[in-house]
Amino acid sequence: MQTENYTITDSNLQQLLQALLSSGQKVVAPVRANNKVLFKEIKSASEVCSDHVQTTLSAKHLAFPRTEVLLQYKKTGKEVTINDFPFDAVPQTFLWGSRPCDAGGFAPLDGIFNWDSKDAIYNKRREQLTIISFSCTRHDDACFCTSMGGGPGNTAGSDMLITPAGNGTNIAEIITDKGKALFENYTSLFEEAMGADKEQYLTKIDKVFDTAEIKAKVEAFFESKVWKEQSARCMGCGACAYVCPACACFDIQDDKHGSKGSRLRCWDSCGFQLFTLHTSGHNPRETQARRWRQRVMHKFSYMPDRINVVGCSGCGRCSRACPADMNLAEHLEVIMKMEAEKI
Amino acid sequence: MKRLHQIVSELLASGKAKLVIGYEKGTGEKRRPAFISDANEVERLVFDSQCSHNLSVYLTKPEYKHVTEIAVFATPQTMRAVVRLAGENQFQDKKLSFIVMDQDQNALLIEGAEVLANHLGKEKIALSSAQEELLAKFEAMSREERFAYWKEQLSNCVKCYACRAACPMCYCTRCTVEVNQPQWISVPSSLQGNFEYHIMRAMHMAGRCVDCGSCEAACPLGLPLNIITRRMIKDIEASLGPDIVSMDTKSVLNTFQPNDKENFIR
Amino acid sequence: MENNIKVVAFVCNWCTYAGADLTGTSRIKYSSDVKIVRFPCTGRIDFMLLMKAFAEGADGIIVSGCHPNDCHYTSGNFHARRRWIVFKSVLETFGIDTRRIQFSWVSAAEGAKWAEIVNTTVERIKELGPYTEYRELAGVEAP
Ligand code: SF4
Ligand code: SF4
Ligand code: SF4
Ligand code: FES
Repeated sequence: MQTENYTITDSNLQQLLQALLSSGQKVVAPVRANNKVLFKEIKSASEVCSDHVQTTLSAKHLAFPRTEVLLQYKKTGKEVTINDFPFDAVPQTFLWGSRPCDAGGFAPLDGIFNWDSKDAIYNKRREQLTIISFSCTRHDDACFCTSMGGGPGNTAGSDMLITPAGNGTNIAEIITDKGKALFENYTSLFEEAMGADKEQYLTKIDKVFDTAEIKAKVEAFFESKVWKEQSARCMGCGACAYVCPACACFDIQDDKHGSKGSRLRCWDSCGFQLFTLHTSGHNPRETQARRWRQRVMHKFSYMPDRINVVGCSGCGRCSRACPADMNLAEHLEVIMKMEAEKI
Repeated sequence: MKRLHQIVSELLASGKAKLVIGYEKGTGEKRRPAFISDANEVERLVFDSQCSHNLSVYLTKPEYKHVTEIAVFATPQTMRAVVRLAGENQFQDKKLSFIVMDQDQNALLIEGAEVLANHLGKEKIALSSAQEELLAKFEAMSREERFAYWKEQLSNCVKCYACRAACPMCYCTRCTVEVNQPQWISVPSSLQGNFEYHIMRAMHMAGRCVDCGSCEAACPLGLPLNIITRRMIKDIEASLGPDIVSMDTKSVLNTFQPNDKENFIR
Repeated sequence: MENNIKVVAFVCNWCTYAGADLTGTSRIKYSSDVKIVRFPCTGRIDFMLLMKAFAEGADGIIVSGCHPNDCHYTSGNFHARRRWIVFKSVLETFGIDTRRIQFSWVSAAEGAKWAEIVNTTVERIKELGPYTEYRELAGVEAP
């Protein structure tokens, strides 16, 4: 649909959130915990944190939880009963206060979970999810959304985007049918568009590279020693992949308890040494350098090739979370500046 | 910094070090691990009070297993880990040198883990005042409150295993969390698996943890992991004697005294 | 409900298991709420087995073996004793209810002691009730 513009005051915005909560809807919003800000289910509007740049973890768990119970089984005598995923039990969920890069992060997931086969469970969770994002008026040195084709006021992926315009007012953009449905339920809270350009309210982030250029570069440098140099300090944990909105690697595991159990889809990370370890003991990605190259290649070359979307929204979470200070934007910049003969 | 660069250059030139693991400027004010094997790059290296990453963690990683001559920048935390790792026979085929800072912030070269062990003081690692405060608050809690506290804290743990990856003493090539027959650590993202993981890790650190704080520093979710290790060290000292970091002390669970005291076995 | 408690006993083969056998042959009656798992030695009883017992439904646990100096393998129980000293401290950090674990030394000659250990433990666990607090952790999604 065509994006529609409205205005909403701060107090009406609060009322909108309050109305969602009072009507018993599941609302997930950024909440302060342990000096970190995390997306959690809220019960009251006052829990919402708004003075942060970015949450530590992304919101991907709303469609792709850390472990998803795909099915449950039970054996009684010779009988095996299988309980399929309870599709009807997936609640309608409102993600409130996400950033444009959080919303944008769902595009690679949508692509991956609909690439060769359509993942019914993921799609069900996505269908039930309405995303109300807030444009960024601040950023930090880890943010690089503009270089990933996004931006502090980017509408892609959000159903509704709120841009704080100061003086107690906000620009509300209704982007999708889901956003429209929400708007229509609470039309009285919105006012006519004020016609102001939202750009002036957004924080400015320089675009330092371009996704098409990166793609060409990383492909050309596949055999380069740069991967080894950059990954020398990587310790092979899963922090970067687990905080990333676009990382979708998973592992299927069984949780067995005697004659019953469940089959789970669990988050995994290509950075783990075990990720590609074969039963034979052979590991095709034996060193952290190869695993780091895979991480970068997958995001910036393979995903654009296969599902036509970059596997990164430039949210900068991996760089903030990494205990070894691996800075993705900085690493990409280095690769961008490399000359062909330096391979 | 000049003296530092000189020491490193000489180590590389003489072949006493084929690889230097030090620090360089990182994002913003951060310092990050730097890996150098070319004398032309020594200018990158820094060593100041901001450098905190425990670099001994890299010495046991498979990527550096085959490099024999390595020089490492060592903070007091790193020294403790190195000495304990040497005590666990992790460096038998290595020729290690260390660059440490003396009281006047001058770089000092120490060759060999044995010499480092002698250089290592008896001082414990100091906690930040915030950590002290939290620990005191924790000590005052009842059992029920402690259980509730960890339920709350562990509800944020995503089992990314950054705490394990950053811990110099977690060098097993096959960790209990990855054993699935039997499945020791429960897989679903529930509090139970998170309790199991952290209890298991604490037990595997018993008498081995050097109290370097790397696990807590690595946790992207800010879990107060120091409480676990600190309390364990304190209790071990109270019941089994001082926790001394040296090359020849055996870790508490590796040995015993026939007259070990407890008051709960009937 | 309090009749439904489960106590699991992890015992060594050489002393406590033999002791429990003696309890039986001496016709000493003791609580049937205990399920015995036999191990070669207390040195073999990994702490994770205790965690798994709680997770899978145990409300109480008994760990028992040869008295110090009597271990069939000389030092298994000395190692075990240290392990339990540390384990108890770790469990207390996490607020796990250590009243639910009874450690003891029961020799092959102490049939009566075994009955007494089991009975007092079962009684205590009945008072404490089922350990649902821990089992419920499995149902709490994180994050
Ligand atoms: S968070 Fe950092 S150390 Fe951990 S795997 Fe990612 S890049 Fe490596
Ligand atoms: S680093 Fe933190 S979040 Fe990751 S596994 Fe350890 S405690 Fe959990
Ligand atoms: S457990 Fe934590 S404090 Fe102890 S040695 Fe490992 S990283 Fe350091
Ligand atoms: S054989 Fe009984 S404790 Fe070792």
